[in-house]
Amino acid sequence: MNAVFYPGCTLRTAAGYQESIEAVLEALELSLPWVEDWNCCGATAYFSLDELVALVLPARVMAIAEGMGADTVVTPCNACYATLRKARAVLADEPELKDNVNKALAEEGKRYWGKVGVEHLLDYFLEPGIRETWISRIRQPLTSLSVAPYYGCQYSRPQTDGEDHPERPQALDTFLEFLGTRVVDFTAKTYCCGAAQMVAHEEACLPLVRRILSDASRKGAQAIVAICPLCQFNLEAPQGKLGVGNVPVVYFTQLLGLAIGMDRKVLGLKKLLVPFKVAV
Amino acid sequence: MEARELLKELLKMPGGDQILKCIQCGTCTGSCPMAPAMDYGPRKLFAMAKGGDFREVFDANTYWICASCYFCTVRCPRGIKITDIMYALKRMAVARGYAPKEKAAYMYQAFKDTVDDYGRLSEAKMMQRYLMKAPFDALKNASLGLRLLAKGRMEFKVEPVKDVAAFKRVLEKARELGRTSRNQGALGS
Repeated sequence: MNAVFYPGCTLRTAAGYQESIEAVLEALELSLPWVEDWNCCGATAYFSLDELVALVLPARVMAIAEGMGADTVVTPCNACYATLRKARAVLADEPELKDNVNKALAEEGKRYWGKVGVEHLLDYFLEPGIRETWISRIRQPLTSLSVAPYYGCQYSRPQTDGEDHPERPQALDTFLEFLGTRVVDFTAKTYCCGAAQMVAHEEACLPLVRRILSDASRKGAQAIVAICPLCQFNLEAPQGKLGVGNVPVVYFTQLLGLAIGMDRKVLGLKKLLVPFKVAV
Repeated sequence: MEARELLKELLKMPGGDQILKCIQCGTCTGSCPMAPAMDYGPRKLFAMAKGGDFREVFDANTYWICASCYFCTVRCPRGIKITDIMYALKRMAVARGYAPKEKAAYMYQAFKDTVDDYGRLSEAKMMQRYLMKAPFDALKNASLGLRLLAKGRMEFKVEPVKDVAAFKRVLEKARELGRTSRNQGALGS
């Protein structure tokens, strides 16, 4: 696999996601060069306004990856993941649209062939060949930690090509089990947090977040584990005004870092709004 | 005949013709996390669309506040790509100047204007634009903004794509080509 990394726009302000990803990749000596001159995938906004532009944005990212000789684009964000794979599926099915996309990309001398695959960072870490590098390096299995794996919506939906189960995916559960944690039976694992609607319709989204948080804490989770910047943000930011107890929301790469014996400081844990004080 | 033309346009989407198979089972509305905040749930909206009631359809807030969770889509027993139809309705509304006083529409526009300018999103810049159209949300977000700032999670400096001018040419070309593509001003907008 010749993979490149597509960060997405929200990685750098996420609560320790970028820090932990970079720290862990370095510690494991895994090379994941960034997509050069990457652009925004457009997420939900562009599909709401202009379909062709909405396809051009992810196609540009994939075209650059292809130009770098990559066969896989790895992304840590659910929206980027969903948008890229949606564009990939649509353009594979509709040659006329793909033609138009390429006419637009030609303005920058780029071309989208449709050969590159799209993978979430979580699945990258579970790839045979990759997973052995960190499983063998686990120094501190997180056996005293109970966790609720939160996938968000767009990791397993929509279904375009062999994704995990649309409502009861297992990949993050498996990952967390490898780390030694106790994974609770988290019913709300793919319940929607409201995503971008938290900005415009907070009052409609708070009950959604409350539902997710209370399921996690009732099941005994000491932390919720996220795989996407917006999910993590929406679950932690409103805590304190929801009438349910606070539960820290950490990134899966931060727990990975702890399990392989890295220092909390390099994993960006102090950026969390709800502190992760659990001793591991 | 406008209602029929609009329905035809919706049907042109891949899987769009599935909407004719809607049996009004209500699984979509029952699964929708945002339904409590909608004027009509997806089920009723589709009944209205099939009945030709497009004015009501476009005036409803339903398709704007869809959160793109895709629960409806994976559960619909007819395989209707409901979420994609919601996106189509947004585009059709915008193309026809129905852009309502809907905050989600302002949010998407703010997102788009920011990415159009830089090639990447700056949440801070997007919020600045959004709050110009929805100023009362500023108070709500002020204390959160300060907490994020304190944690080093606000960025004000944008790192754009290397050649913004070239990037803009790509988007402009896409807009130009998109004008004749489906769901976008095909009826002369």
